Amino acid sequence: MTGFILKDLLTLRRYMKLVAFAMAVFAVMTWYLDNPAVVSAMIAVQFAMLPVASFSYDHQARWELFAQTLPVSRREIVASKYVLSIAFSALGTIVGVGLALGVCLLKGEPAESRDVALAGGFIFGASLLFQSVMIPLIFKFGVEKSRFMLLTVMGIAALLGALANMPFMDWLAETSPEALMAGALAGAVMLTAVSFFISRAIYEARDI
Amino acid sequence: MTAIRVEGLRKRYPRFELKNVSLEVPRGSIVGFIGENGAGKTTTIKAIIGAIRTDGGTVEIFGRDFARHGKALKQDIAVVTEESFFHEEFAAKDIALVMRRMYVRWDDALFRRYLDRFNLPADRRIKELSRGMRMKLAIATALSHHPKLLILDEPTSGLDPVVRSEILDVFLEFIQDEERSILFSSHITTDLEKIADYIVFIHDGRVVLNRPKDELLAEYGIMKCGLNELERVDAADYVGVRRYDFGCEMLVRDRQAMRRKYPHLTIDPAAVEDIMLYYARSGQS
Repeated sequence: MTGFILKDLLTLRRYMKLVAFAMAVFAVMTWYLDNPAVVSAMIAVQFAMLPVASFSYDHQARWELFAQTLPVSRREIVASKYVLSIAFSALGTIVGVGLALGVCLLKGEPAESRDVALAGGFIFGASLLFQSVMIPLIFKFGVEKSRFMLLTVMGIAALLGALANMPFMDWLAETSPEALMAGALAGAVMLTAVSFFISRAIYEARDI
Repeated sequence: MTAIRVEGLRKRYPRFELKNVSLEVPRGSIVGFIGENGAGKTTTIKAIIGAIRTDGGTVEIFGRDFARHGKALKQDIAVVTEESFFHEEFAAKDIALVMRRMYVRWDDALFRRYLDRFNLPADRRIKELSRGMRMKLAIATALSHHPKLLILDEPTSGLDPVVRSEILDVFLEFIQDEERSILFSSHITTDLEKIADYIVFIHDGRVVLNRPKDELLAEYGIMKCGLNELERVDAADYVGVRRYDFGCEMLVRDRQAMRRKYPHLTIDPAAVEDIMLYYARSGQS
């Protein structure tokens, strides 16, 4: 499995350089924005897209068939994508929050450690949630269709959210941020586990 | 002892079906797997390596059920396909980094020797290589973990004769060790005439011919006659017939017997390509 993760990291080298450039731009933006959490989230999104890009590169190289010839089980192939996704989610969170923290310190406006933990928790949870939905879709439908489907799912979710707006927003306002973060993180971790088993079932049943 | 034993392999697609495909690759031999495009060669290979789920049949490699022991067996197998490989941003040195973590017997020194032999720079990216060099890199990669079984899907397709010859030499060297075997899928039958011990011919998802190559070349023939003589030739004596303006040609299974039966007709030895063409046209099995 480590071979597959290394393969993805090597494949993503050039893309990661672009992400590094984007981070430099975001660092400048953070300086001028009042809310650095927004930039932290944007950085995390960049990192969350890396595993998705790895699927695109696999597709370009027709890697999947070659992967079947290697002494690795399908379960391990799926697991390698999840390890990569979790690692990039964590890295995106650390870099995003760390950058915001650094800029705040330089500006002489040190952030509350509680706020930092909350922002980091939410960003990490959201990143895991994104991967958990996206990866099974990619294993089933491929990258291009999955992007479109994710947009559709998000649109429907936003619509449903708007319809059920009032009671839910009241409940959110009354719940403590710590409890919300803990719930979101726990939900994201559970969803990641469920997502892995779904992806595995999809991939093990699939013809390459 | 066989390297590969496939029995009764079945796979149904909406527009294509593998129909009870059975074949064997004896140890120490090269089996040429021929057939026109779309005949089922790649589907059979995909089924052998577990890339597709079959509707029936069994695959044994080195006497072990591949469905149960596939991961362990793949340590002794190398597969080279026409197009599927590492991303084109990879260089040979990157491939070595990854493969070292895949195979317990990955041999960096051997890989470097193949790179030197093929004049492949270790740091040049795949996208900068010609088609022939890409295939050489794929073959160098395939051979560098000391596999005992090589499965090749159209490895010489689209390559010039010089590169093809160079690659065939590597395969012939590989097979010098009698523990090693090759299943070589190709529609370039001249390559297989040079190196194969057995020929398996698949047509429309069904194996229609499975014989030692030397037997085929010794027995089959192309019998020629005028159009007016064709009706005097027993239809059971030939596999297929091609008619021209001034005569016709037939593929016969036993050219010695046909020479005795039709002494006035010309009979030439048949090439593997002739055999494939006539069987494909006649649809016989």
